[in-house]
This record gives sequence, C-alpha cells and structure tokens, in this order.
Amino acid sequence: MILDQFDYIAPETLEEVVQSIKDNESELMVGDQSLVGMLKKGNIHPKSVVSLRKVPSLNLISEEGETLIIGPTTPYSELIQSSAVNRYTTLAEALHSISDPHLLHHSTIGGAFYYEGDIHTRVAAALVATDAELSVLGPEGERQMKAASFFEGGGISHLLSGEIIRCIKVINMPFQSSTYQYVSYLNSGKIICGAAVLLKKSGNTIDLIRIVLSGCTSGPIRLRTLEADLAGKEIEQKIINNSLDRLDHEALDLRSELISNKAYLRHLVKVLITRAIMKL
Amino acid sequence: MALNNKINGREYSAEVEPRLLLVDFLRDYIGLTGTKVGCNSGSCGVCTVLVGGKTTKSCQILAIETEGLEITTIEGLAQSGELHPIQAAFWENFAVQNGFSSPGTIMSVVELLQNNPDPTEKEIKDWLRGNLTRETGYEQVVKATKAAAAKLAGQTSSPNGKASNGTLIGESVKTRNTQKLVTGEGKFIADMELPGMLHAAILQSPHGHAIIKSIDITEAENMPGVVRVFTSKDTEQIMPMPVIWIPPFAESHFLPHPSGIVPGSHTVFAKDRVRFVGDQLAAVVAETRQQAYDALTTIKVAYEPLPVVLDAEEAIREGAPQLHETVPNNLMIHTIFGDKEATKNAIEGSEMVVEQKIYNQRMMHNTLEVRGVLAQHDPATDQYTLWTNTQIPYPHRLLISLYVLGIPYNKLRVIVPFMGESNGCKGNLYPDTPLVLWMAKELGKPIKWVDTRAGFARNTAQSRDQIQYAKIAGTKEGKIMALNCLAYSNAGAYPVINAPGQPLALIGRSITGAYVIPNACYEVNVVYTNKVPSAPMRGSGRAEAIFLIERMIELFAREIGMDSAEVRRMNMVPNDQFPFENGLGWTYDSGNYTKALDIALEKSGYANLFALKEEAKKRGKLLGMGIGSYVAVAGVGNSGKMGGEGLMSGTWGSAYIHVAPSGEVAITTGAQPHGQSQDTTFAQIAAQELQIPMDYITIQHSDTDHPISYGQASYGSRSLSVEGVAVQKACKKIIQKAKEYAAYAFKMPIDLIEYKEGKVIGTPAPDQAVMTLQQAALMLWFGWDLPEGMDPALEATVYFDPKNFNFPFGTHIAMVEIDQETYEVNLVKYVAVDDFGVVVNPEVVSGQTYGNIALGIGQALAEEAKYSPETGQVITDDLDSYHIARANWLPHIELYRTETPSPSNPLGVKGVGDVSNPPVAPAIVNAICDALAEYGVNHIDMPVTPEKIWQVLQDKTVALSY
Repeated sequence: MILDQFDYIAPETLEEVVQSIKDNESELMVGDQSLVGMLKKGNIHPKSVVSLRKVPSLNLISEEGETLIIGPTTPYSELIQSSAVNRYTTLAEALHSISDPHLLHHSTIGGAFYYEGDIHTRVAAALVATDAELSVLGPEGERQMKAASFFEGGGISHLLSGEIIRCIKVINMPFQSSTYQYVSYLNSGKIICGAAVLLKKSGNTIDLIRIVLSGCTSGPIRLRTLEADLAGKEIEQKIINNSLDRLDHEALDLRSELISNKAYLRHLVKVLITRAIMKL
Repeated sequence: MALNNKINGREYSAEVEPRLLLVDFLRDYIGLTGTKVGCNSGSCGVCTVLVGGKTTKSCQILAIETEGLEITTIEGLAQSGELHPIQAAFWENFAVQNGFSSPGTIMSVVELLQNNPDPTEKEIKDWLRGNLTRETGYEQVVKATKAAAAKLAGQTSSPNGKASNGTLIGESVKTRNTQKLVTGEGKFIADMELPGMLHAAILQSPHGHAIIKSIDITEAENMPGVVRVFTSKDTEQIMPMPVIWIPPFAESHFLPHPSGIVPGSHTVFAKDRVRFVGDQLAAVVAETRQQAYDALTTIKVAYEPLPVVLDAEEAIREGAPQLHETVPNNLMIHTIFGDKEATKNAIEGSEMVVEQKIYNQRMMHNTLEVRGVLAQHDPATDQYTLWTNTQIPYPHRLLISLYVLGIPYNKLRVIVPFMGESNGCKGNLYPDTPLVLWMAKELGKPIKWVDTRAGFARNTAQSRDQIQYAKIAGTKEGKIMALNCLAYSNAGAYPVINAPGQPLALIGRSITGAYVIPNACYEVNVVYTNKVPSAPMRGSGRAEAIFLIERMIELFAREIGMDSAEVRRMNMVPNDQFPFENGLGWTYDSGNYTKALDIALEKSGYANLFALKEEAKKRGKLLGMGIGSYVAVAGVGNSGKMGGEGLMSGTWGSAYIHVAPSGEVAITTGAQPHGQSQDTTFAQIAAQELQIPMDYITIQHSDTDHPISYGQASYGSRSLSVEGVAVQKACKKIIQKAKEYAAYAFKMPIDLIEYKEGKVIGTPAPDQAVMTLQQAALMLWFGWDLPEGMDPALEATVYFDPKNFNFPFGTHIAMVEIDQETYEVNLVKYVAVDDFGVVVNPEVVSGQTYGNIALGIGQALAEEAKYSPETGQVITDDLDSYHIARANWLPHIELYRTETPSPSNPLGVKGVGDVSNPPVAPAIVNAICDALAEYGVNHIDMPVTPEKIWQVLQDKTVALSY
C-alpha cells in the first residue's frame, strides 16, 4: 500500500517525457521496481510519476563498433542473456550475482542511476569501472557524462531539470581481464561488499588496474590511490597485502545497514580486491 | 485512471488510482485472492504472478504499469478442472503445508521450468531465493519442482503421495484440502469479504515508553470514507486482556483485572502511557482499507518520552525504568526448579566445572501471513461471529466473552479460515481481536482488519530472549554430576495470556536434556521490559533448554579433552531406565537415545571428521561438525499436571463422532490445524480403526459451532498424541455401540459380536448376522427397536487426557564450512535422526521436520529482533532487515527415524510439530565452534554471523590471512 497520492503519465515520445519531467516535481519510472519500494516506504513524495514504458526506443541493447549501447529501461534479465553484454566480464559477473527472477525482470540499468538500493550497486560499480558514459537528453539538447562523474557529482541530482538518461554506453577498456567479486549478506543476495576490478599486466606485474567498490559505500567509489600504488607491483600475495594495508589510510567511508563494524567491511574490501587480482 | 489488461486469458477494464499496487488490483478489484500479501517489500514472494510470462512480485509493481499486458495468476494455471503438472507435483510431493506460500512459489516455478526444463537442485534453490517459506523447509519444494519437470517432460513419475484411500497408519497418504491451496481457491483471513464490510486500521506508538499527552483525531474523522475513529475514551467498558498462567509455586506479579478471577494484561487502547511500540492508540474504520490507512497518518499524538529498558538483567536492577505500578522492580516471576543447594554443593565438589553465559536471542515468528480479524454482530439475534487466523478458537471464544467484552459465551462463534503458519504467535489473544469485534457491534457492520508487516513486527508476540548463566560440572572421565542455570527471561511489556508459562516448566524441567544429571537447578527471573510481549515459539522452551545443555556438554567435553559424542553417550539415559524421572519434574516415557546418536554419527561421517577438516583447509575453509541431541516434552495434557504448572485451563483432547444414516462419518476434533495436515492423519487413524475407506470420513474443526463442547487446540506438538488419540477412542466407542446394537438385533451375546472391515458380525452365523456400519447407523437413527437404555443415533463424544506427556528424542548433526577470509558460514551437510514414536503419515512428519530444521538454521545463523536502544522501536520490521532461511542456505537435508512407541497413549505416538526444532541451533553452533576450536573460540551467541566470527577472532588477536 502506498499512502501518498500522485499523478501518473506514460508519454509515448522522448520529447514528451522531457516536457513532463520539466514541468512537474516528478519521479521517473524506468521500469524498475525500486521506485515502488521507495514510494511504499514514504522515502519520496512525488507529485507525479512519469513512466518510460511507452517509449520503446529506451529498451535496447545494440553495438556500434566497439561501443555497447544500452537503453535505460532495459531489464537485467535481458542484459544477462545478451551475448554482447556477456563480453564485458565485470558487468556480466555483477549481473550474474542476482538470482531472484523478479529482480532480474524488474530491475533496469536505468535504475542503477535513478534509484539507490542494493540490487543496483553491483551494476553501478561495473559501469563506473568500465568508464561507461551516459547520454543525457534535456531541453537544451544532448550531452555526454561519465558514469563516474554522475555518481561522484551526487547522482540523480546531477541531472538538470528536464534531463533524462537516454542511453548508457560501454566501451572496451584497455584491460586484459576483469571481474566482480562480492560478499552477499548471509547468502541472501544482498551485497555488503563488492569490488569491480580490471587488470592489465605484463608477466606477473601489474601495468594498470582499476578498482571500484560498491555495496559497502554510499555509491560506487574508485580507489585511485590504491590503483596508483599497485601499478608496477608484482602480483604476489605479500606485496598486494602491503599495498592494501595502505588502504587503512585512505579516507574510505565504508557503510552497510547490515554490518555494524566498519573494520569488518574494511577487511572484506581487502579480501575481495586480493581475490580479484589473484584470479585475474 | 483507466487500466486495461488481460488476466488469465480474460480482458479486464477498471478505473484505478495510480498508486494502486498490482497485488491489490488482483485481489481487491478482480477478486483473485490466490495471490497473497506477505512482506509487502518484494522479499517473500507470496505475491508472485507472471506478467508477460515473467516472474513478478505483484506488491512491487504499480497496477497501471501492467496496462495492455497479460497476467497469469495461480488461478490461471489449472485448465478444465485439471491441475497444472506443477500444482499436482507440489501436492503429490508434500510441498504444501499451510499453503500460504504455495501459490507464489508455484508461479515462480512455472517460469523456471519454461526456461530450464531440467534444473539442478542448486538451480532450483537459486531461482527460489526470492520465494520464502517459513514452514516447508524447502526440501519437498525442490523435490516437487524436479517431479514437475519430469511430468512436463512427459516422464511418468511415481508420486510419493498415495491416493486418499489408503487406510493404514504409517502410509504417506496424500494430504486433504490441498487442491484448494495449490489452486488459490482456499480463503485465508485477508481473502474474506462480507457484504457491507468496513475496514479498520490501528495506530501504534513510535515510542517504546512514553506518557500520552493528547490524541487529536479531528483530521482523521474528516478524511474521505472514514466512518469512525475510536480511542481509549470509547472503550472504557472493555476489560484488559486476561492472563491464564499463574504458577502456584512462584512469586509472581501481574496486573489487575476487574473479573477478580484472573490477572490482567494490556488494554485494547493504551490510555495514559505506552509501554511498548505495539501499544494501540486509536483505530480508524473506513469504507476501504486504503482510506483507513490514509486517515491513520493524520492522527496527531503528543508524547512525553520516558526512558526505556530493553534488557532483562538491567530491568530488575535498582534505578531501572519501572513499567507497572503493581510490579516492583519489573519482576513478573521468580522461581526455582530443582534443588539449588544440592546442585551448588555438587558443583563445588566436582573435579571439572565449566561456566558460560549464553544469550538465546529474541526471535520474531514472522509468519508470512500476518494476523487478521473479520467480525460481525447481528443485532436481531445478538449473535457475534469472529473469523480470525488463530491456533486457539475455543479459548478466543471463552476469553473474549468472559474476560474482555463481557458478552454471553453462547453468543460468540469463532471460525478459523484457511490459515498460514503460526510458529506459535497465533496462539495468543491480542487486543486487536476483541477490539475489532467490539467495533463491529458499535457500528452495526462487519469490519475487517488485516495487519501490515510493520504492524505485525510491533504488536505480535516475539520469543526466546533469555540470558542464561550456566555451570556444568563432572568428572575428568566425562560423567556429568551437576548443571545449574540462572536465567533472566525477557517477557516484554505485558504478560500475554499463557506466555508466563513458557520460561518456567518448558525450560526449567527440560534443561537436563537426554542425560542423567544427578543434580540440576534452574532459577529464573521473568522480567518486564519495553520490548514486545514474548510468548511461545515453535520449539518453545525446549529450544532454550536444549541449546543450553547441548552447548554446555560440548564445552565440558572440550575442557576434559574427550570427544563430545562419547560424553553424550556415557551420560544418556540408558534404555533400561524408562520411565525415567529426570529430577526436574518430567518422566521420560520411552526411548533409545544412544541408537539415534549412533545412527546420526554414522550417517554424518563423523568418524572422518579429522580428514574432512584437513581437506577443507586446503580449500580455504574451516570445517566443523556439531551434535545436537535432544528430548522434548510434547503432548500437553495431562490436565492435572498442567494445572499444577499454573495453566488455568484443561488440556485434554476431545472428539465427537457421528455416523450418518448414509454411512458417512463426521469427526469433530479439538485440534486446530494450521499446516499439520490433521485432516489427513486423523482420517487415517479413523479409517484404520473403523476399517472403512478414508473417503467416508470427514474431519471437522476450525468452528466453535461444531458439535464438541470445547477444543483445546493445537500447540506444543499435542495434536496427534492427545486429540488424535481422542479420535481413535471415539471410533472405538461407536464400534462398541454398534456391537451392542448388533448383539441385540442378532439376539447373540456381545462376546460373539465381532467388528471387522466396517461390519458388525455375529460370529456363529457370519453370513446371516452381519450389518455394515451404515446399516447400524440407519437402524440407530430409526430408533424403532433399541435395547433397553440405548439412545438412538450412532454418535459419541469422548475425551482423552493422557496420564503423562510424551518425549520424542533424537540427534541432529550439522557440518559447516567457514570461509577463512570472509567468515561466511556454509551449512554443507545436515543429518537428523528423530524418534516420534509411531508415525501416522511419514511424509507429513518429514515436512514438519524440514520446517523445524529451517527455523533452527534461521535462529543459529541469522534471525534476531533488533530494537533502537533510544526509543525501543523495533528496527527489524520487514523481511529485508529480519533474515529468515532461504532455499539456497540449505544443503540436502537427510532425515532418518527410529520408532520407539510411547506408552503414554494407545496409539504409541509422540509429538512431532515443533519437537525437532530444539536440536538444530545447538548442532549448528556446536559445528561453528568446532570449526573455530583451534583458535580457542568457545562460544559465540546466536545468530552467529560472519561479522561476529570475525570480531571474535579479532578479539583473540588471531592473525589469519590478514
């Protein structure tokens, strides 16, 4: 039961969508069940809900050269079955960590940007790690934005009035291998700590590494200091541990509703990053 | 807004609010109530339907978003009266108990098998991670899914369940009434409607302890659809809830009650002060449920918050916030079981003493079905009718009429519709229930109230929550000489009807478990706090006791350097000692405790433990095995003994049997099924006794207008061994009457009349002097020519009050692996060996055992009610914050049984429903502590989460990998 009343519109064109969200104190429904959860809990009180379900062009997976293009209302269940998406290992592994079919069908990649919540943090981390880019359409036209900038800039509040995410673009990064490692709380599927890691190495030496945390942070966080520290290091447990020990000094605001001790989260971060590097 | 969609192949158009959820549209607009509401946060899956063929939790989607889409609900699966193969497989494989979670689970399985026609066990469990069941334990659900896959693939499988015509005790006869559950036809309380029905919503306090300064209902009264808003000003004539467990041997402090017969508890509305967050402040009655809840948000209450006390030990300390004027130091009850002095001396004189503080955490029953009430009053006849999902309809009738509303007992009828699991929480009387009945009379219209998940978290009893200071003592050779426990039980803010009994005898007389312990003592303080009132939960009392002894025996064995299995064996009650007085008040009826232990050790591969540990270590896992042996008292009565414990009620079983002139047999039982399949098992007993097909027999219950005087209901694993025995006794009684009539009719001595295959036969002339039960019933119905003194009609009312309880027992063994880096706990093997005496329906019994194990796993690893220390608010108020066991947590559960008949009843049966829960949690915690033994970890309080394990190892400054 939702206690607040609101208007609902489902425009049929992108232009109408832009017009609708410009005029109202609205929430965008990108085909994602998280919004309903927020409405039920009374976390948001929109005057109107604008649904994208009638704009078919927003549900797509396509490839343009080296770029994978995903529409915001594309559900995870379609992404997980796409051979194109499965070539992006970090994103694929993040998606494969979801097994509840309802969540797969009713969570969309747009939801990863529009709504908070456990289900999306893994995908958000994968997208930030792979330097995904957003095409944002608004009254003033279209602009491009890095997923990383989107989250670092405060998420949805980063969008201007009337702007919507038209698509998400994922490109092949100059890394040889990648993975998404995570710990889910009591095997419930809720991630309390996750790390998207991309690696390029020569022999047993790290050339380049990208590390993005999620689940234990308020949004996807890239560990740039650690990345720099690990670059050029040999892949050896002790050496990696030494670098990870320096994480203690990095200003990381680790948090989880389900874990009371931040030190345990910090421990998990180290475990997952090590696992990722050793695996790759 | 206009909504057009297609549901189960039919087009629908409706005008809806944009905020309407799909589940409410399906249920309230279309009347498809097979789709249930459970958690309301997309966590439990009971609302699962297919939208466009895709698994969808209909509580997490706006109805309007399904415009133009095709929806399939559980009602759309069966075609032309034929069950869908998945529905049939669920029935045949005993995957349905109370059935509340079945429709949602079945709908998920539909898509799974469309995508993956031959799923593995792991794939099924992963897919069903979002479909919770609190009672089935998932094992039979997985089995049913595999069977359904085989059916859909055209393979003929031999179903487990036999057609309902089996007659013998010991057969896994297919359960009755299950068709209505797998098709969604069965009406649960939230599914019911009456013409002109209004809806109620009840306001709770956001504070655990506060003075109520004022309540302003003006705005709510003027909200659309609101009929009336009630507060304590309106209900002064309603009496407080009664308390019906007053231990005669203990110091106790309850609250006053105007009846002068029993003590009191909370009132329907808090008047001046709230003492826990579930205290009720106001009720809105409106034309729709949505309107009632909309108006509830506009009621303004001014509070003056008071300090809260949440810990039982702190609550009885000097200076703690005081809850009740009539209760000094918040102490409800103080008492001692056993000989305190002798136990103290035995401990002091022992070679080895081990001490441990244990906190058996506060659990929430968190049934997937919340509680609800539908009430009606007919002014023309002054007849009250109450429909509610309770375990105890007859006590509701008595307590509400006599002690709460002061209305005639004979004018109140209580009916229980199809009902979800209870886990014990639906065995109480809550203030909301008489309130709704009273409001229905006040307004002259039927009123329905169905709780929310958040409301349930605050108003419905919780359980366990006991601090135990334990000492175990014995010889270096392993002989246990003494056990002492000083306990603090957290009763919450008020005493709930019979709840005061739970921390007394059920724990106090049970702490010696399966062992001969010459000196034992249990001293308990039952304490009021600002938490939700506590009450029994599945495994009640025995769970706390068995956890205590099984942890302590483990610690003792470790201290003396002996294998704990050996310590158990040498201290278990020997086979030749039965009946065995345990020194605390129980007389164990029968058993072969070491046999169950030995089977469990063998089946679990216990002898290979060392090798298994070494192998696991190579994979980065710490492996451990843990044992939980148990004896659990079951089969409440005997009435006299229960009266001696303080229960102000009889506990006998009752049955009324009637053979109609048509030959059909109707038996009314005093049991109250809520998933245990008494419809089936009691019919099996009757069919065996009467030697007629089961199909001739109907089992009646769930309505106080049925022809028995009183039903003592179902709780504490009593149904079969008390009420079931009454059914057997009733059958014997009508056989006797039929024989007496036949003797008269055949003009033969009674000794020459035999009852065989549903017939009374005069043995000297078996071909001529023979009469079927139906013929006897017909002649007795005519009553034309009866022997002197014989009344017409082939019917009987019987009671059965066992002289002793019965004592099921067994040993469970858990094997866990703990990740050496993340400390995640994986339950990799579980073996249960149980002895329930004679078993009537093995698959039904297995289903209940799986359910007990799933609950125990939840307690060991995940479940705990959490409160805000500042406000006393319940934080774990949904199934995202309160974690119950999911399908993918469980390994394949291996069940084995031995069968030692009970001498406590003529069927030789023992309790089943909740008795195999107590060994589960200790088996798992013992396994975890075994895995961590090399790091010196002795004990971790439940729930044993990875974070706690990490913390304990940190505290021990053990450097593992990092």
